[in-house]
Amino acid sequence: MRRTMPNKRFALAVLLLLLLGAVAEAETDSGAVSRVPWSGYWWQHRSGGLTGPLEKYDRVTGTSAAAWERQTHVSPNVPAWFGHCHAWSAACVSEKEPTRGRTVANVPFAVGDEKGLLCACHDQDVANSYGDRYGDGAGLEDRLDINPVELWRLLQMYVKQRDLPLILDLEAGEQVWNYPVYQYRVNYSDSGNGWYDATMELVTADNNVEPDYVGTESALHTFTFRFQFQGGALVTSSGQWTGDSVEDHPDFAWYPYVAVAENPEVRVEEVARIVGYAVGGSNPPDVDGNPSDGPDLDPPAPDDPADNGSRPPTDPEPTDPDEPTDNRPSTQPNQPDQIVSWQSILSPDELIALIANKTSSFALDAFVDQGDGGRYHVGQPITVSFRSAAAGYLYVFDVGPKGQLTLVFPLPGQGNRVKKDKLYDIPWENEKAWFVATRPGQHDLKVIVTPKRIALTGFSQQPISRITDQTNDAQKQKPTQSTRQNGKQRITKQKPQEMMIYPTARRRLFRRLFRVFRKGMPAEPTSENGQQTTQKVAGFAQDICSYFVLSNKGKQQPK
Amino acid sequence: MKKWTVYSSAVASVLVWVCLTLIITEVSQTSSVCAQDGEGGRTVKRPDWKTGDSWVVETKTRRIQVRESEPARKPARIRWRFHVRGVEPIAGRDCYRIDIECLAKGRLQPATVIWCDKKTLFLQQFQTQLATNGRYRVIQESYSVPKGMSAPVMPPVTALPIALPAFVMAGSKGMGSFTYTSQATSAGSKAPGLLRFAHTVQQDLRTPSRKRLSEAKQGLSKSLDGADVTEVKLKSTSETIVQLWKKGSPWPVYTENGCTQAWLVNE
Repeated sequence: MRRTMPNKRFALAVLLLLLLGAVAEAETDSGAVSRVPWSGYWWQHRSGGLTGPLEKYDRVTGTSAAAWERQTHVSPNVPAWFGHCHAWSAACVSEKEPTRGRTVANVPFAVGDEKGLLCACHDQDVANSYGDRYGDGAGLEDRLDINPVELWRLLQMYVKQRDLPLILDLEAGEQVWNYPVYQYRVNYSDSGNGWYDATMELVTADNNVEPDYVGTESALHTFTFRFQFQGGALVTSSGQWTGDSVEDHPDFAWYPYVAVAENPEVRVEEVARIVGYAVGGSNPPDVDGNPSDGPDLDPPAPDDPADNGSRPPTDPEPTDPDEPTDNRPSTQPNQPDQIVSWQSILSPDELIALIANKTSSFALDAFVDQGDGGRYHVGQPITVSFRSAAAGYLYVFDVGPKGQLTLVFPLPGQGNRVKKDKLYDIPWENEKAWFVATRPGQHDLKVIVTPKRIALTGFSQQPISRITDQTNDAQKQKPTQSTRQNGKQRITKQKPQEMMIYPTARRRLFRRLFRVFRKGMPAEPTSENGQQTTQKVAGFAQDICSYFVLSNKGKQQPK
Repeated sequence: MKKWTVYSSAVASVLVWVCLTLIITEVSQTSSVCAQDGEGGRTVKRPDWKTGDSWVVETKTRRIQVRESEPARKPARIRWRFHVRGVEPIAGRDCYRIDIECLAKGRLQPATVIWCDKKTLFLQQFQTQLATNGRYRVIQESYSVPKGMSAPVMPPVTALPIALPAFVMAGSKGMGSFTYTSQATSAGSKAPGLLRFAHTVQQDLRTPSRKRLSEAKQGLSKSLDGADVTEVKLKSTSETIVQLWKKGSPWPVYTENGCTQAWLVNE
């Protein structure tokens, strides 16, 4: 009999060598801050900008800040994306988060008002910026800017080494969508010929929240690039975006350097009095841009040891991030545990891969009240029913006629844990209908049950308890925001969420969904995202049910 | 014996030549360090700093969020005081330490320090403070080049232009491409898991154009008419910096880096 043992040993050795080689080639660089930037609303110009908080500010100070805001920023004719996201970004990385309402001079300020005023203090910050903003008519106007290796260098310096977030404009085109990155990971491996392929994952704080939200909603964005090493150092000029990232990559990065308020009526010391703690920022410049000669800040309140009004020492040592800074009570402190787990958040591409996935680990049956292929008119309520063979967390997505993605369930504040073998209706029984037919054409409802709760980039899932409207008198919840039914909170005045993501990504993702659901093409992008999604939500189940929406004139015909 | 005599004389001659060359090089480097273009024309002499020297720079940085449909508002002008504090050793090199104080009123304004090699003014290390969560955090970066070399470093502080050209030895070959490496830690330290980045910067010198002189004059208190002014251009893959150097000034009289303009307003 011929001995086969040596051949097996040889094969095993080769396999081990290959595995070791694969492990040795792939490397990771990552970092995260200890104090996560807080989420806040971005104060869209069309819908009033900062007028609301500034009107309350004017009542306390006797100024005309709201009038200035209305005259300068508020207009129904500006593009929908115009807002104060840059000011929110600067404020949420620079300032402590207000976590409860206050009453000053008999004027009640909610958390949202305080956050808005902090934004006003940072609306014209002088910033260190990296990369040229595309589409502003100045600078290089290079669509491939910012260089990925340059961005990686900044992430190392800010996030990893110095515990600082880094603000990015994620939209590569003309629009500016600012978000602070507080966690990153770069996986890279040798791809041959001196080149390395890399994936960069960025976790940002999101601003798709209600103004009074407290805490951090997170979003995950993934980009790919390649680069070269030389002499043990990354060659900055070698960085190149690859794949989808050639079109979809961050435009520029920045961090506030000198705090400046844009509104000449906003005074930092007054905002400090309202929020109850010292706030950064200088007096705003006067009309022709010269530095203001306004008075120095008022001396800080005696019980605020964090602010002694002095300039920082010129021989600074790294500060202790955990050292308490003031006596301000906080009901929901920003704890390091808000740093998101990589396994619990899906990037937009991973979400699309999940929605396009047609495999299931257990039985899940979903249908609409008109049956599969049922017809609805615009505005007609739709009820979705489903039964899952395993307990888990339910997500319902609607893919529209052109690939538009909407999250039907859960809405912000809704619990989505479901039991096995139980028939559920959405909306729940006796609940007012909030899911109605829109956008004439074919729709596909993708119903997914996952073994664990996942965070979805582009969709707010802020729990209702995070939205407060507290005053010093009593803790109140807005009665219209929630009702209690069967021990679970229900939102009665909300509707399915449109995906809130910057335009370049949104177009790309919807195009992908359109190809899969309308053209019957294979799911894209490459299998890598699909594999990552499967690893993050292993053991999920899915089902699809289709329906048609007719225009109110009944002209739309199903294909 | 005769062969040994000839051999010894040759070796001795070589040794003398080497020593003389080293001496001449050292003297030249100390007394006449300047940037020079390829044709041996325009030059920029290294400023002669002394402990206690002080000057003020005013900056104007383009706003992060500017929209065409909104009325144009001028960006804020910020003043910074540079102060040569003294000489400190950094990674084995004597370096001028310069403290840069932000003169804008208000809390949480940054304080910056740079260390420049005493001989070549190569930017060895920089650090600045950034506000976060109501307090400060220091960011730091250090740079390295092969011994005896220099390079124009472009640090990541675009709102406060602190780049300096490579002031190389007079008579050397003209400006061109320089390389240096950076790491996000203090010079000489090796933090685990920290990557180094290699940068290439192209340096050119020229006579400034009228347009450039006109831009510079807007923010200067003293006229540049008749002054000996040289334009230095530093270009990397991600940034281009233009500086105007006036003979005898401690700092560029004008700097522009794509988002910030800076003027030397007080020497």
